[in-house]
Amino acid sequence: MCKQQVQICFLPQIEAIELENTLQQMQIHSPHLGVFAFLPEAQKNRLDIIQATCQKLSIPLIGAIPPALLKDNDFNTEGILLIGFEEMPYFSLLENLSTDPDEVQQKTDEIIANIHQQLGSSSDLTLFMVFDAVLPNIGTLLDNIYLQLANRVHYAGINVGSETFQPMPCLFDAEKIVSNGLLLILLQNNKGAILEHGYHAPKKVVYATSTENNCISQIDWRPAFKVYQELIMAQYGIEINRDNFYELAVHYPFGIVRANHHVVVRIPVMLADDDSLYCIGEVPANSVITLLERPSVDSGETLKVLHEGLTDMNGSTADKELLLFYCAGRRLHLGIDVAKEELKEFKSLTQATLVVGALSLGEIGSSTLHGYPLFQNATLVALQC
Amino acid sequence: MKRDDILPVLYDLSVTIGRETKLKPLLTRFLQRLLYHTSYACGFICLDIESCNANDELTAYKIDAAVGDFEIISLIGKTMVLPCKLIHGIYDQENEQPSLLQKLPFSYYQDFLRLPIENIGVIILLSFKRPETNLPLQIVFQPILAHLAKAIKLCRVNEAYTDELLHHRLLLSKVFDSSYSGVAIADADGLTIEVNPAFTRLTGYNKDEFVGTKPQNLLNIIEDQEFAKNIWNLLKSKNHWEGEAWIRRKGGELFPVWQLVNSILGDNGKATNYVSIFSDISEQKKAETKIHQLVYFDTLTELPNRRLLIDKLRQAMTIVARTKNHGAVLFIDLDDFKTLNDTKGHWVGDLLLIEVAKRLSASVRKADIVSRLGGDEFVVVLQNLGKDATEAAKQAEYIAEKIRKALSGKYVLGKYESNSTPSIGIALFQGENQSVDIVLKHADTAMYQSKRAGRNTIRFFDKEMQTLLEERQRLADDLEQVIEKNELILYFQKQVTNDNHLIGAEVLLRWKHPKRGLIAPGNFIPLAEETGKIISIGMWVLKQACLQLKTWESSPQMKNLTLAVNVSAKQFRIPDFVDQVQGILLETKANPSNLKLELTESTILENVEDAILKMNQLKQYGISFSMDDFGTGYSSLQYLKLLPLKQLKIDQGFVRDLSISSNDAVIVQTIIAMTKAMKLEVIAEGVETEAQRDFLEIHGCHNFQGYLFGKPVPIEEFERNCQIQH
Repeated sequence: MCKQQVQICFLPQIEAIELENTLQQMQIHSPHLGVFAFLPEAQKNRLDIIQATCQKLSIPLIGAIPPALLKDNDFNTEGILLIGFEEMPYFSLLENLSTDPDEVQQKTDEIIANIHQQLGSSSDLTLFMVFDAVLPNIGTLLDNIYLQLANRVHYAGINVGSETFQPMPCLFDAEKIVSNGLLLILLQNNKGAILEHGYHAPKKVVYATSTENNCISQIDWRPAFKVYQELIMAQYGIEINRDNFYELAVHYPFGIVRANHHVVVRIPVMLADDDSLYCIGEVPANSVITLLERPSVDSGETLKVLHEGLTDMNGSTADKELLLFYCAGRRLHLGIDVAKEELKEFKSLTQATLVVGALSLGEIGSSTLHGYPLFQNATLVALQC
Repeated sequence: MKRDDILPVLYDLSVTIGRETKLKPLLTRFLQRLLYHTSYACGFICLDIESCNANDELTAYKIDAAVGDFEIISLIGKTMVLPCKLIHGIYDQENEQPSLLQKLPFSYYQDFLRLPIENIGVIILLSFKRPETNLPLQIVFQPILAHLAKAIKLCRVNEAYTDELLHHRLLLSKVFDSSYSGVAIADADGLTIEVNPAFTRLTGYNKDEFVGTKPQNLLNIIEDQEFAKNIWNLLKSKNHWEGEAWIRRKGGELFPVWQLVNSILGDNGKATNYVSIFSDISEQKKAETKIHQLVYFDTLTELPNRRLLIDKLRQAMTIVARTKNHGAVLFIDLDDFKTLNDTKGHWVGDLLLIEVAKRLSASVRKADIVSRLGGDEFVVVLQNLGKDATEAAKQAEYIAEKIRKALSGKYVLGKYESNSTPSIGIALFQGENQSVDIVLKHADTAMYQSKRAGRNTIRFFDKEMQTLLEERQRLADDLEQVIEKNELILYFQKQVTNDNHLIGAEVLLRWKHPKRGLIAPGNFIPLAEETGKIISIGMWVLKQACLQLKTWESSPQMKNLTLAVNVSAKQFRIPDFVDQVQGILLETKANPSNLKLELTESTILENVEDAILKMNQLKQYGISFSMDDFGTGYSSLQYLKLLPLKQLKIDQGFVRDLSISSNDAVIVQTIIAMTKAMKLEVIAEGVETEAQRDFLEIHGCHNFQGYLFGKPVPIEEFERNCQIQH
C-alpha cells in the first residue's frame, strides 16, 4: 500500500491462534508493526478477536468492514486481510460526523490542522480515506479537505459498511468500533491511486434542480423519480416503477457530467415516498446529470486506464503487490461473473504477484495524477503497495 | 469543454455565485467550480490590482483566493511575486505564455488562463497541460465574471455591514456578559430565553437550569410570588416596574435586589419580550441597618436611644389615648454613677451600664420599652396599665419596685465589684393632650424628687411640682413674645465716684408683664437663658442702651456718661456677636467709648481664647469691658492678665458683708490691690451704707454703685435725678 515495507497477508479464516501466530510473524519482520485490517461484513462479530489479539501483542490497529474482501480473482465474505506497516502511519479515526455545514467546517479545520503537523518535507503523500458509506455528506467533507490541502497530498479512498446500506458501525481501532465515521491514513512515499469506471455519458442531459446531500428531489424542476422513469423509458424502452426499482436502478445509474467529460457515477439506491431518489454519494445542487448508457461499461478500457495510470505513477506493475477496491454497485450491475472476469483480467494485465482489496460502497480518487479528488460509484481503485 | 456544455456550466457558476454572501467563500467556491468545469489543476484570484508601469517588472500581488495548489493556498492573504504582464493581461497569448510561466515561482505548470473580473481583479488558472477545448474561454466566461464582479462588490458591502453589526452585537454582548447586574430576557409569555453570567452569579442558576428545555418565568426567582404577580400585572399595563424585591438563591438564601423590569414593545405596541435587570443591594441593606442601628440605638447597651424612645413613646401615647388606658414613663438614674466613673474609669462605668441594661430588659414585659437616654439615665415606658388611674399607678409602682430591686445590689464589673442603686421617677400619662417632652420631663422631675428623698427610692411625679413647671412653661411662652409686645423696660442705676460725681450707669432689665406686673430679672433671665431667648433680649438691651447714649450726646450733662450693659454667656458665645454689636453701633451711631460691656467670669472662662479674640475686636471699636461679679468664681490672675479689661467690678456679696465678715474684707482689699497692680479700674456694686463706701475708699476703690447713690430707675427718673444733681 506504500513504499515503506508493507506486509500483506490474507487469512481465509479468523482463528485466534492462527491470527496471533501470523501477527507475531509479521512483528518479527517489523518490530514496530502497525496493522490496517479489512474484515468482511459477514465476519464483523469476529472483530473482538482481532482487537484482543492486537492489544495482547501491543500492535496498533485500524480497520474497516466492507461488504466483502477481494483476493486475486475472487470475492470473499470470510477471512481477513491484514496490511502490515513497518510502523503505523499517522491516522485519525473520527466518529459521529455531523452534517451541519458549520460543524463540518469546524471538524475539517481540526482534521487539516492535525494533518499539517504530519506533512514534513515528503513530496509523495497519500491521504487514504475510509468513509462510513451511510454518511450523506462525503462529497462536502472531501471538498473541504481538498480546498485546504489541495495538491499537497494525493487522494484515495473507499466507502465501507453493509452492502444493504443499513447503518452499521464499520470503522475500528484496537479499542472501539464507530458509526458515521471517517478513518484517515496519511501514507508516506505513496503516489496515490488510479480510479476508473469506464461508463460513457450520452448527450441528453438534465439538471438536478433540487438536491440535499445524497437526495435528489427534483430533476428539471419536476419530481426526480418521474423524470427518471421517463428517461429510462425514452432511452431504453423499459418501464421502471416502485415495485422493480431496487432490482433495476443499479443498472441505470446517474452520471454527474463534468466539463472535461469525465462522468461521476451515482447509483440510486432508495426511492422515497415523495419520489425523491437517494444515491450513494452527494449530488451537488444544479448538477448537470445524465442517465448513463446501459451497460456500456468498457471493461477493457477501464482496466487499461488503471494499468497505464499505475505504470505512469510507479513504473511497471509486474511482480508487484497491488491493492484493488471494486465497487459493489458495479459488481451488482455487471453480475458477479463479469466482475470476477474483470479481476482476472486486471491481474493478468498488470502481471502483479498479488491483488488484494475489498468490495467498496463508493470510491475516492482521480483519473489523473494531481486530479481533483471525486467521490465516485461503480469504479475500480487501484494502488501499488 | 464543448459548446453544448457552456450553458450548464454558466448556469452552475451563476448558481454558485448566488449561493454565497461572503467574499472568501464566494471566491473559493467560484474558483473551485471553475476548475471543476475547465479541468485546470489550480487557480488563484487577485483583487484590487494596481496598474503597473513597466511591463517587464515582477510585482507583489495579494492572493485573495486559491484552489488546487497547496503552496499558493498558503499565500492566501499574503503577497506573491508575479509577472505584471500576466496579471494585467499584456502579452501575446501564443508567444509570450511560456516565458511568463517561467517567471512564476512554481515551474511545473505548462499552461495558464487569465480571466479578468472586470476592473476589480483577475483569475489565473494553471494546468500541467492545456485542457482540450477550442472555445474562447475568456469570452465565454465574460458574462459570468461580470456577474462575479457585482457579487464581489455586494459581498464587500454586506461584510462591511455585517462587521459593523457584529461589532455592535459584540459590544452589546460584552455589556450583557460583563454587566455587574443580573439580566434575564423573556419572551412574550414571560418565559426566560436568555440570562447573563451575573444572573448566574447572583442567583446560582446557570443558563441551562433557567432557560434550558423547561424555561422558567422571568419572575420565578422572586420569593413572594403574589408580589411577582402584581409586578406582572403592572408590567402589562405600564410596561415598566422598578422597585425592591427579595430573591431566593438556588441554595435557598434570600437576598434583596433593586429590580427593573421593562416590556419591549413590537411595532403593534404589544410586548414581544421582557427584560429584568437587578442588582444585589445586600450591602446597602446592611449599611441601612447599621445606620438605623446607629441612629436609633445606643451603641453601648444596644437599647433604643432617645430618638427611638421618643418615637415609641409617641406611638404608645397614641395607643393609650385611643384605648383610654394609662401608660407610665419610668425615669431611672443610677445613684453615684459619676463617682464610680471617676474612681474606676469609664470602661468600668460602661460595664455597669451594660449590666443595668440587661437587668432592666429582664425586669419588664415584652411590650414595654426600655431605653437609654445617655449617661446613666434610662427610661422605661409601660403600656396597658388599665383605665383606672389608681390601678395604673399601683402597677407602675410594682414594676418600678421590681426594677429597683433588680438594679440594686452587687455588680461584677471586670475585676471590680461594685454596688449600685437606682432612683426612679414615675409619670403616668393618658390621652393625647400631654406631649412626649412633658411626660419625660415629669418623670425626670420625679426622679429628682427621688434623689432628694435619699436615693434608691421611687417617686411619682408631684402635682404641685407639675403646677410650678406648667407655670414656668407659660412664662416661657410669654417670654417668647416679650420684645414684639414691647414689654421690656430698661432701668438705670447710677455709677459714681467718691466725690459723688456721676460717671455713668448700669443698664438693668425689667419685664412689665401685662398680668403679673413688673418681673425682676432673677425671675425671668434664667428662663431666657434656658430657652435661648436671652440672645435676642440681650441684643435688644444693647441696642436700647446705644440709642440712649446717642440721645445723650446732645445733652451737655449726659454726653460723657458711660452705660454698662450686661452680656450673657449665651449671647457672647454666638459666632457673630462682634458683627452684631458693630451692626448696632453703626445703626445707632452711638459713641462706643461710652459703652461698657459687663461680662461675668464664667462667660469668659468657657472659652478664654474666643473671649479674648472677641473682646480685642470690640475694644478696637472703642468699647470697654468690665468684669462683673469678680471674685465669685475661680478668679485666675493668669487669664486676667490676658483680657483687655478696663474695669473689675467687686461683687455686691463681698460689699454687703464687709462689716461682718473679715474674710470678705480681705477679699475686697485683695481685689482692689490686684486692680492697682494690673492698672485696672475698680468699681464696687451693692454699696448701701456710708461705712461700706468709706471702707472701699480707704482701700483704694473710688467708684461705686448701689442704693446709697440711687436705686435702679426708669430713664425718665434717672435723667430727672441727674438734672437735679447738676
